[in-house]
Amino acid sequence: MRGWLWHRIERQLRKAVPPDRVGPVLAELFDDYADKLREIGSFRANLWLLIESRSLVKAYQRRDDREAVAVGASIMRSILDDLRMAWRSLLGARGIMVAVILTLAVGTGANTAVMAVAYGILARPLPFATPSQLVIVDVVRQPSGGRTGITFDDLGEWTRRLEGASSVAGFAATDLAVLGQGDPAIVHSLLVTSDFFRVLGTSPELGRPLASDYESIAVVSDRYSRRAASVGRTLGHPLRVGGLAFHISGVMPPAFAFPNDDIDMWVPADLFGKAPIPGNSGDSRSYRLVARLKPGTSVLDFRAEANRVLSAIHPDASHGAVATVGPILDAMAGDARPVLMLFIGASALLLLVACANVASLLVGRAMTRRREMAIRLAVGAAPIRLLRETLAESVWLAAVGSTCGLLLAVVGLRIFVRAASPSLPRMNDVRIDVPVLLLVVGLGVVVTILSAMTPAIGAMRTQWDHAFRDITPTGRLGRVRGPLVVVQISVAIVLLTCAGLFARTVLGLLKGHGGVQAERVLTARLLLNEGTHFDAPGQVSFVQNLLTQVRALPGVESAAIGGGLPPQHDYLTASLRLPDPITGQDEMLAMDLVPVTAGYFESLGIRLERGRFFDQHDMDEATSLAILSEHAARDLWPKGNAIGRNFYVALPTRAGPRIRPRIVGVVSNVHYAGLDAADDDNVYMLWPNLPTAVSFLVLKTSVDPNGLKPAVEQTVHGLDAVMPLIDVRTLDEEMNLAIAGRELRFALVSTFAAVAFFLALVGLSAVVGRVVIERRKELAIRMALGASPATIVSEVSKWAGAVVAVGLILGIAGAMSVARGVGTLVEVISPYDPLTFLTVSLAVIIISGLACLWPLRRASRASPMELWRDT
Amino acid sequence: MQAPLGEFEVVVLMAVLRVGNDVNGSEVRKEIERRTGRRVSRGAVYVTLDRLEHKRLVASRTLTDSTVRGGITRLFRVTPAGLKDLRHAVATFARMHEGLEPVLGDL
Repeated sequence: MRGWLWHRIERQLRKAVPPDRVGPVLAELFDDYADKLREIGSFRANLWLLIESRSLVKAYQRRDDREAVAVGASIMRSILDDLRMAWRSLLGARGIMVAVILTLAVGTGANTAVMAVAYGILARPLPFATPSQLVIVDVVRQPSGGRTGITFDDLGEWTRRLEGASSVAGFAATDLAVLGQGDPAIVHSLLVTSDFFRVLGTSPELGRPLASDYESIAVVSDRYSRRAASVGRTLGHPLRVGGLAFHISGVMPPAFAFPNDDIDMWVPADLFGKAPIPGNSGDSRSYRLVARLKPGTSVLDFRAEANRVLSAIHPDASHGAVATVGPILDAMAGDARPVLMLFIGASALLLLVACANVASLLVGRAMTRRREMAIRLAVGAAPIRLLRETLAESVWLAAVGSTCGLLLAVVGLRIFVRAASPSLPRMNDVRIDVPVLLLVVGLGVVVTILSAMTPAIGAMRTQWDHAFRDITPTGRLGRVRGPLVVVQISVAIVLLTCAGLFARTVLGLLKGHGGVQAERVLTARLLLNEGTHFDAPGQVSFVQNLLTQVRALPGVESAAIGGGLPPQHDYLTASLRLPDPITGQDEMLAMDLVPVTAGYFESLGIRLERGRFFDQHDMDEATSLAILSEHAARDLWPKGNAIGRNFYVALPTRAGPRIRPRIVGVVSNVHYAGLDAADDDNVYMLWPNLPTAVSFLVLKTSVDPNGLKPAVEQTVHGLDAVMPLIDVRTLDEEMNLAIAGRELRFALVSTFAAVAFFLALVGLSAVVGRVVIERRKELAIRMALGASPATIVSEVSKWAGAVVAVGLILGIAGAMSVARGVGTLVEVISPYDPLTFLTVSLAVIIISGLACLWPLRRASRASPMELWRDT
Repeated sequence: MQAPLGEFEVVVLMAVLRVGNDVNGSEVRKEIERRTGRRVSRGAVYVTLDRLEHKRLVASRTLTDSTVRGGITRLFRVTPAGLKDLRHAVATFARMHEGLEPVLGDL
């Protein structure tokens, strides 16, 4: 019954009607057809069937058209078609696609992460009202630039006299010992005057700000309140801060940070007044001002005014003190700026290498497709159509590449923030959000389209007759590749040189460990004034007891107390005026004054040069003895032996009169003012003569010092339950903290340099490989005519050698000029350190040679027949 | 708010209601031809039913049933939303017709 006509019509309808509808439509049509066959005979029924099926096909076709027009889908569809086609054609060149995507991911990823950091530190709006009106006022000595600051007593005078500001407040950072519930803790705090929060225009998220200076309240950070809540301290909870009773009156919002994000508590400055703050660091008594400028006052005007105020308050200030005024962002991010510029520069260079790589990969692809393009153009393809295809390919590459880049950035950023938080400010504000995201996407798209369209347009210009010729190795496109590789190599050299300089800095600083042996040493900071006792004699006996108990701990070889700790904790300095033996003029000599107990030198591995160390007998007698560093001994007694002499001038003691201690030993130089400091003069006194409130416990252990941390804490708290014990660290950890900033620079720049160099090598190797392939025919003919493979290899390697040589020359020139820029970040060595430059150059030559080896071997191994056939 | 129902859509909806629920395209068409006396293209009916279904005014289910002659059929019924729209459309006609009886005569 279902004849040929039915089958034909069924085929037609299956094409026209959507597949999910066609079943019932056919069934019902056939149903009626069967009826018709019975009613009117097969001839007329077949005619009927023809007419019916036509109407069905037409109706469905009309519907399709209407829907397509309705959603403007035809443009959409053609774009989708382009994308589909581009995807297929990319799949055909999977190797290139993966290489381009990875390169893009690395380039955009690194730049996104760095931009997120830079944006967070430099550009993200500060958490204050109208931050552009806020300035920081400070007083520095000229020309040294050292801070003098403003004394507490002068604050009122300054506030009254500064008329260019609508409001002014003073602040000073200090560490306060906070007692309450839980362990005693040291809190990074800011002493502030009553107007402080009004000047900044922010108020606590919870509770109220500091209203009156004379109320015993503290405002804490969101972070601190969370931590405190976990041990039961909340709003209104009583605390003992610096020996005074306080309660928490307010909690700041999480974004608030001033002047750094490590400040956890803001307390009224007046309460402390001139009273000594136990446990503070050296400059806590020198205040700075934060001022809100009146509209119309410029920073320059205000600076002039501040200097007028300075000379009005201190008419005798002829010793070169100058008031500085700077925008608040400078105070918060100022130090980070050169480092950030370095990071931005490094990531931009990496992006440049990545672009060059993408470009040379896509040039290679354009060259292989030149023939195809030429044929398509010749048979009448519209050039715009071919360009659209290339564009669609770039869109794919950019989309996938920047997505991968984004993932890379997210992961990289997490690692970076963790590594950088001790050495960079505002790390809380670093995250990837809309502005940063726009940047990645923009970067990815611009990079790919620029690198893809140039070769595409080049290919478009190809003459039609190229379609029927062999591909020539030196087209307009081919000539671009040499310079691209040169750029990559030279940029990689610039980055490698920077990385080398930073590596030398880190190594140079760590060499000698600041004069001590850092292995197996545990250190801790004691704040003796915060204990339940003590006058000076009480502290001495506490320390004696502590040392006796700690020395008894298993695994402890020796233990001691010192008033300073290498490499960067010096709390006491003594300035001596000495006549210079040559000029006869007086010269100021600054010395680190370190009171120590017996065992200090042994615990830190400080070498004895002459004489003897302090021993327990000296401790018990508290005789007035001193030990000098080699440097100090040479400065004080340039000609003779220092041992047995009395110290040059009288030194202060805690208990009573100044003493002129007798020198019993000379030891090696130790850095107390940072690893990068010049060799300081050190004077060691007996600790009982000058017991310091901030003292460091040092232990030399025979086991892993980390394992001893709990035992030491237990011992200290067993002797005095409220004694704060902070910064329990190994000496290695102290060393790492001292170089954290440099290590970060080194790690980041060397990562970028390694990636850039790797990309450059991939680029070089790929281009050399392509040159070999393109010259196959020529090589084959020459080999057939008797040229040895060696000549061929030398031909190609000459080309590669020239590229590397030009890259090297440009790279070293670039590195020289960049080295001048990063000079301030390079310590210990000269920024033109010849060793670094030489090592980098040699490494680049050798490794590039290795990278060319593989494609060259392929050229030399091939037989003429093989080469001919491949073409 | 969707576009108001077209005339043919109203006719198709009414035809589905007339035959009763679970009616296939072919029966809808026959009902329309029987009542209006005019020839209706098969394709128009199917496409209109599809469109009505897309607007959720009718619902359909496909029935595979060997007792049916073609072995497969698609049965339509009017949804509550379809009923509402249809009522609205008819009311519109009725309101526009009011007062025009002298011209158009009683329908």
